[in-house]
Amino acid sequence: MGRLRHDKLNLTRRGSEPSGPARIRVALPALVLICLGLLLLSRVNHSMLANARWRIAEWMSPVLQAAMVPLEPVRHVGRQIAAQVDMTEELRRLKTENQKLANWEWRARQLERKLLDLEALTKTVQEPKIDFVTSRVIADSSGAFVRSVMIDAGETQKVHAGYPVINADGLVGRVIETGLSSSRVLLVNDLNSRIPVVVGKTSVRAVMAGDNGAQPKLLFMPPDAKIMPGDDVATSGTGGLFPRGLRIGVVTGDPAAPRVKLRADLDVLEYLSVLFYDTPALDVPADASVPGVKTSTAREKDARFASPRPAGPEAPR
Amino acid sequence: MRALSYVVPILSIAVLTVIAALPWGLPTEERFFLPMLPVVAIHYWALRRPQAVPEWAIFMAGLLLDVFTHGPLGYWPLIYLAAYALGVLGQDTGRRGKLVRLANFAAALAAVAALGWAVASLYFLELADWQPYVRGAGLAALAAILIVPILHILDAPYGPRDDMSLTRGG
Repeated sequence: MGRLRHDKLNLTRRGSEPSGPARIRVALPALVLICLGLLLLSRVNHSMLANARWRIAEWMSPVLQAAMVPLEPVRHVGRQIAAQVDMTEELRRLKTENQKLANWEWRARQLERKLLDLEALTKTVQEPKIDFVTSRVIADSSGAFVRSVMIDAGETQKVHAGYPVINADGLVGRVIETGLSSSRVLLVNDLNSRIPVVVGKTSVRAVMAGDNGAQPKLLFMPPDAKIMPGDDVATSGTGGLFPRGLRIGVVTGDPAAPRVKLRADLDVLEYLSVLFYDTPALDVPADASVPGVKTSTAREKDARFASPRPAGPEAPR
Repeated sequence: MRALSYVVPILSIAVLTVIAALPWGLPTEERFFLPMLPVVAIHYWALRRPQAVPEWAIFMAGLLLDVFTHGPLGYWPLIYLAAYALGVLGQDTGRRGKLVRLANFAAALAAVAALGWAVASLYFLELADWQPYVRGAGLAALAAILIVPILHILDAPYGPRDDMSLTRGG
């Protein structure tokens, strides 16, 4: 009997290590049914699921933050390699761009002076300066369903749902959910993203709609609108969710079905700035409401506008 | 020691799940292989020691990825449970040498990618682009070249020995 024993193999033991034909346990079909149920609930965007999901994500965010520590050097090396590869081309591009910008700087200073004079003449109300907080991306979406990222700034840093999010290149998205120390940002190319924009020198108004692709579409333009590839696209400020003039990208593709080539590279987001932009149009005091009609505050309305919607194509907006 | 033999498989799947959720700065279309990384580990453990990986652990790993990536809940648990089922059903092939095991893994990866595409298409009620799924499966197969030896090292003290054969006589 002793000869049948081995340090790692006990041939005399029965039961615990099944040696018969492979078996699927009962738990497996039960869990598959649960998965299908969850998928159905996700499809109809059940509010209970959305709340539970965000609580778990918030609770687990320290794990992601800790995992980012060893990832940082890896990403740094990746960036270094990528930078080395196209260094010559980048240098040539920067030289050309620098020449153009020097001309533009001179012109911008002249226009700025002129604008100040005009504002003083017309007694224009000054636009308030927008404060911001910069945070790190700790998780992003992968797959066919959503385009969103998770950042490590939340209510503790005074981040609220609805706030616009930018990086050095332009608009990236807006905050849709916040926890104590983390938030989720819906990217501008997500299927559910709809942003009022102005296009080109003639400020043609349109709506930029994401479709989970790299280049969002331009919709609802006036029939006689003339836009050309290369025209600038920026937020229009209509609806008050975004401040006016945040740059987004340039028009690209067929003028009959134009798309927007985004300035910000949404694939390599590292640090994002959240603008503390409280929608001025919705900032109506509660006591200014019509008697008998309950008016929600700007924050409540922001939260309502920014509430998560189903990640499906029929998501209402 | 015996407890560790159960912790190691679950921990390896959990680590790969967290890795799949991290922002690696990859283009969106190339990112499909990241959630397939836990599939490599799940299939490996299901093939070698299915009793060491409880179904609920696989379900939780998938659910966690859905939460992190903000995808519809239930999508990745379903895919991971399918990978586990394929591993368990292919257990017999696991005893027939490395080449058969490799073919089994390739077939499982292809089946899982096809299931992922089918479920996504059903969810959106329109045919999803199949190319990212194919690329994802291909890249996951390449990543398996790196992952499987690590899992093998982790499994060495507890798992069945590949070099041992029981014969009569001699």
